[in-house]
Amino acid sequence: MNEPIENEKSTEIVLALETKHVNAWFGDHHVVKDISLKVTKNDVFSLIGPSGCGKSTLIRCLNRLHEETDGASVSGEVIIPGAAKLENIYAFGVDPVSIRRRVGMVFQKPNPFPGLSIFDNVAAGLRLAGVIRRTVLEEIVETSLVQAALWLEVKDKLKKPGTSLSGGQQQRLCIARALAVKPQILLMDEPTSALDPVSTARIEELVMKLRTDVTVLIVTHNMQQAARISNQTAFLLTGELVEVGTTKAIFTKPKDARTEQYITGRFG
Amino acid sequence: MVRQFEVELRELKNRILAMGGLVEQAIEMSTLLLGTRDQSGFGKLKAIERKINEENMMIDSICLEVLARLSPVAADLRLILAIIKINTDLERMGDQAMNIGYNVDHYLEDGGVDLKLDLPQMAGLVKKMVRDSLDAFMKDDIGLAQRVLESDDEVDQFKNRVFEKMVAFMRTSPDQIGPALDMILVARNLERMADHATNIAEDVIFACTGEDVRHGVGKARR
Repeated sequence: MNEPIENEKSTEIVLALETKHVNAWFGDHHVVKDISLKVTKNDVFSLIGPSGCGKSTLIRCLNRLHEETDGASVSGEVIIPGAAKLENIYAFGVDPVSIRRRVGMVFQKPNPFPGLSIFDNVAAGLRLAGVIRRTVLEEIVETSLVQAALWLEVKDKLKKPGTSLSGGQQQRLCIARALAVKPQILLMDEPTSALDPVSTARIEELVMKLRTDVTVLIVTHNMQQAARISNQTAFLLTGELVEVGTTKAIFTKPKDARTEQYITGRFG
Repeated sequence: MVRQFEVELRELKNRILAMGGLVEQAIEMSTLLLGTRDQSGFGKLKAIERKINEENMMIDSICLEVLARLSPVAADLRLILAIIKINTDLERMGDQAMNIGYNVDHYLEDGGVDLKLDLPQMAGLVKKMVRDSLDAFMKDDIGLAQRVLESDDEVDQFKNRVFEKMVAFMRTSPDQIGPALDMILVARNLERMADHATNIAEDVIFACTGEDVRHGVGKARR
């Protein structure tokens, strides 16, 4: 097995997430191969690579979403800090739903719950977690919408359907929904690929601000986006981790010729 | 398929090479004024310098467009950064050739007493450094770039000899301070040109390897 590729950090790191020899399959198709990496707390960590390289599958392994697909399987460990110690989310007996509360996810296409109001979209996860007091719900919904930079645009129409918002607003609503349950980590799978440049810029600004509260792992096809918003970047190719390092190093002086070729558009 | 970046890059590299040719001509012309004592050549030098300035602006404009449109990264980004800096170095060398033109013009107006200096040899070495630095740039030749860095000390020695000789001369011939100062300035301008050639060589090493060797930092120390 490959040795874990150490991130370029000289100071002691506070770990947000670590994968140890993670593999993922769809049936017999081996799509994520022996990936070991560490993500530091409050990083914005980008995963880049050509289509089909396994980056979306990898982040879906980080909150146990991959296993929900028929025929999908995972091996290896994903470690996140628990209340008292580090925990492997794939350890026997761990409830995937509790993991998804701690490791939230935002998808490529905004997916507000149809039929639910803006308020109820954000409150949905809290209600599932047993929060029922209206004042508590109101406070957390407002805080989450402020965090997602949507509050000023929706504070007067919280009862309107989430689906009545524009695409960019819907995506920020989904981010607010994910933030409402106070996750340790936010996974974002190409969160701006369906958005126009202005909405994309707002989401990017938002991600950079969010890093003070939450660690963000983002899958993106847009390398300039990775360069703009992340401080660590990993390059995946055919399911393998080729290189991981500071975004500055990856985009100015990558170590591996395959990374260089990919980011300069020579293949992929 | 040839990447659009490579098409733009080829054009930029060719323009840098052509601009380097103009700079070599400017150095040649400025030092020729000294050898031939023919002030009419100064007009040609001014015309060359105008072309260098035009080319400088054109290359900057293309680089700006490449950065805006193609967002280069990694080796492509390092190369564009190097081109922007080389462009500035070449433009400054054009200015220094003009300075030499003015120094020589002034020196000839003052009578142009023969001070028996090594300035033609010094100019020859500087021209070689410029040519080698641009060859290194065109061929991604780190070894040649390294040799350019090493040549800089030799140019400094030429300059120091001119300075020492002219200071001694001014002490013994206070009525010739003007021409002596002009020759000190010629040597100073040639030495600055050599510094720009070494800057180009450092940029070539950076573009090729990502290693920043300026100010004695990195592996390729002078």
